[in-house]
Amino acid sequence: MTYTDTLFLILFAFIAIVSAALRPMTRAREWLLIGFSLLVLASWGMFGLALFLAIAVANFFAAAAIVRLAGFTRKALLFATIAADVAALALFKYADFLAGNILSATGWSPPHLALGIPLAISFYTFHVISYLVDVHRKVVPEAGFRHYIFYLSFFPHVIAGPIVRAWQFIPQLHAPRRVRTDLAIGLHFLAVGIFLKSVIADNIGAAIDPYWVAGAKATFAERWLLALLYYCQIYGDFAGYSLMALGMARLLGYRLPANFRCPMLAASLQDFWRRWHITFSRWLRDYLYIGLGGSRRNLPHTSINLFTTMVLGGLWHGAGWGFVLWGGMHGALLVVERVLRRERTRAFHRPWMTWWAVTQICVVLAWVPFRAPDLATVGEFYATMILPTSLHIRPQILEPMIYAVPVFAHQLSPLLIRRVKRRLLPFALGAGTAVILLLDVVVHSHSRVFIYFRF
Amino acid sequence: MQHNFNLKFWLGVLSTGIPMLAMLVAIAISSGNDLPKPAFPAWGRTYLTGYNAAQIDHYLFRFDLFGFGDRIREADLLILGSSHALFGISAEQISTSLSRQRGHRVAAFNLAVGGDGLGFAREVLEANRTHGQTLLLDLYSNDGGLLSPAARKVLQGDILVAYVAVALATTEFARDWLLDRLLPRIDFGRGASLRVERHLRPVVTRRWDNGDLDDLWTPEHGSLFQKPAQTLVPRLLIDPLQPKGPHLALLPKYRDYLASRDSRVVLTLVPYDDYRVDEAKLIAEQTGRPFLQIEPADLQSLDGGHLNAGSRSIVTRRMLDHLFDQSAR
Repeated sequence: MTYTDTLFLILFAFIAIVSAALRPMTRAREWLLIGFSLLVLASWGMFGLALFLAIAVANFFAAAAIVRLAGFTRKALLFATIAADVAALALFKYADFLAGNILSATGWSPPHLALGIPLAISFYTFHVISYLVDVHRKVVPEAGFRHYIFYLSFFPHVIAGPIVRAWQFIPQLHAPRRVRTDLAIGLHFLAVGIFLKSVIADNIGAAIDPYWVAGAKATFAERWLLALLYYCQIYGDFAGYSLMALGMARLLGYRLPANFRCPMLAASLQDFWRRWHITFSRWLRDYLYIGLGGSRRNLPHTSINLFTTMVLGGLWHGAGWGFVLWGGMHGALLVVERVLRRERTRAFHRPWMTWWAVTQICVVLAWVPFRAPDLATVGEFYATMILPTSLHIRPQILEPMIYAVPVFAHQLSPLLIRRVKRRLLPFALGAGTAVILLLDVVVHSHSRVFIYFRF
Repeated sequence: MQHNFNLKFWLGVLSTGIPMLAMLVAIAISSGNDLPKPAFPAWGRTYLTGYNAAQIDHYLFRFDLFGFGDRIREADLLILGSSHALFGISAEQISTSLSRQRGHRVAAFNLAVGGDGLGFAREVLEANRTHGQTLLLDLYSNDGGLLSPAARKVLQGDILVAYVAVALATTEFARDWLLDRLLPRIDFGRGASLRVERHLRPVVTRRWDNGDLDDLWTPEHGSLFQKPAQTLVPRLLIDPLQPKGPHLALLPKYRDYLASRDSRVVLTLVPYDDYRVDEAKLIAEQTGRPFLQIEPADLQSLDGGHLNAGSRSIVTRRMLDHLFDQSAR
């Protein structure tokens, strides 16, 4: 079940109503939501659910032991558990990738496991690691099993984030808040999320996918447009999913952290990562970059830490050299940016518009290896994108730009909201929600699974 | 403050939503497509087998959902093959004729699944532990062990995934069936700048008791299977990459598998454009199985490959005539 399926939305509406009715009975309500979350996971396969429960239970007991231990054993258990979590992730996600690379490098063929990637494993692995570390650092107290499994399995975020920290979520279970605007805001988020995903991303995807296959021919202008449209598609897909998650959580009375904040307005790579997949970049910063030493030492060390973090962040998205290259490009560009800032070069003082254009061009270029099926296609794309041979654009590549317009408009929505008079804002929000909801129903959509469900 | 927010919000929803809804209803009504929508499948009589891109037979047959396994096991004769056999052979007609001829009830079930063939049928037969039945196998596009991507996905799933897949397709269909002709479906930016269409997408329904095709409905043509063909629908169901006939290269697999079953296997090839009956006969000879050849004259298809209900009846009758001839000999 994906979150745009009618079946899911019907079940969700039912669960939201029952959950509201059970509000005075906290335990029953929480078990109901846990049960539904596990059903959502199971709808993708019982094996995925079994693996999730096994990893969740093992980490629960490990965290309990970490709380009770002291000194070296406490730290050793933390590292051993994290190592086991990462090993499980590596086994399912990277074993075949590694085997394929060993085969091409040495000619020796390691055993082919073909385990398949269990749904959500990348996301819940990050959740359990953050829980273990935060319990170890005493940032959060140890949670009871019900609250722990609720936090970990909560269906709006379990499959593809936002990556929520225990300290952000578990306190909400202890003291549920009832805000009367939750229904309106939740519905608005849900409607906009479905619109970005079903209407925008799926239609762009259907139009551009044929031009991303190996060997597909395109001109200079078409390649740039295809990369830009993919930027719009992945934004619609993932920001749409994240908004749906926020909306569903809000309709149930919980708050999840925002995952996107107008990334197309970013005027530096650092700024981009504060606006794009925010919960992921914060996780990388807190548990990997700082763990590697962060920026505590000199510039070369900081640069290595930054680059390594981004390469691993790229690899987290999937087992493929394209993701490594994407992460590497972002890492390298972040390093360059840091050097420029530090040196306070003249280039650094150029106007916002110049930096914005340079940043967005870099981001668009970096999407090529992320989307292309193989490195050969990446090479073809870049070769055509560098040499301005032809500005011709076929109508079938230009037409999906109509779906990109709402993506650009969505970047400007905070500015627009600021211009609406405060007393008119609720009315404007309601009117917008009604229009978007109706468009969700009537605009043709090529239903597809969320891109980030694959990670 | 919050109360005020909610009031204004819902006022905004209603004051914008109602006029826009009315406008959309007016667009749907005035779209000019008055084709009646298909009948909603009646539980126990007909069932939804395909909606838009979703196909659910794979799940129903492989995971024995809603008693389909029982009906498959209880059948004396199973029709196997791809969409050609689904559109071209009637289990009901076979059952009626054979029952009359033999003096006792002979149950037949159409197990053909669009896009697949012997490869998937094999999985269904094994999963439902069938044995001793007569298998009537249409040789078109039977890939002798190869599986379509849809079949491979089904075989990786489990029973809960199967129920969810069926429920997903059914709810999508039910939603669109309810909204059809009330709200339009609007398509931007593909060829034409804006296209207003029917809300329903193509629907395929089958008979609950014997798996026969009930109807194929499309928003452009309405009921396509039950009504006589006026004009051919170009390439409606035929994938250009699909093999255009029996797969000779996979002959050894057919031979081995058919030899290993304790079933009576009868081969046939439902006529289509570029009917390659000689290759089918060769497969029958090489595998040592009887072959029911069907005269291709006077048949009507929807798209050059799939027959309509009238022609299905003719094909099944010709097939039965051959069968009775062979039994008499």
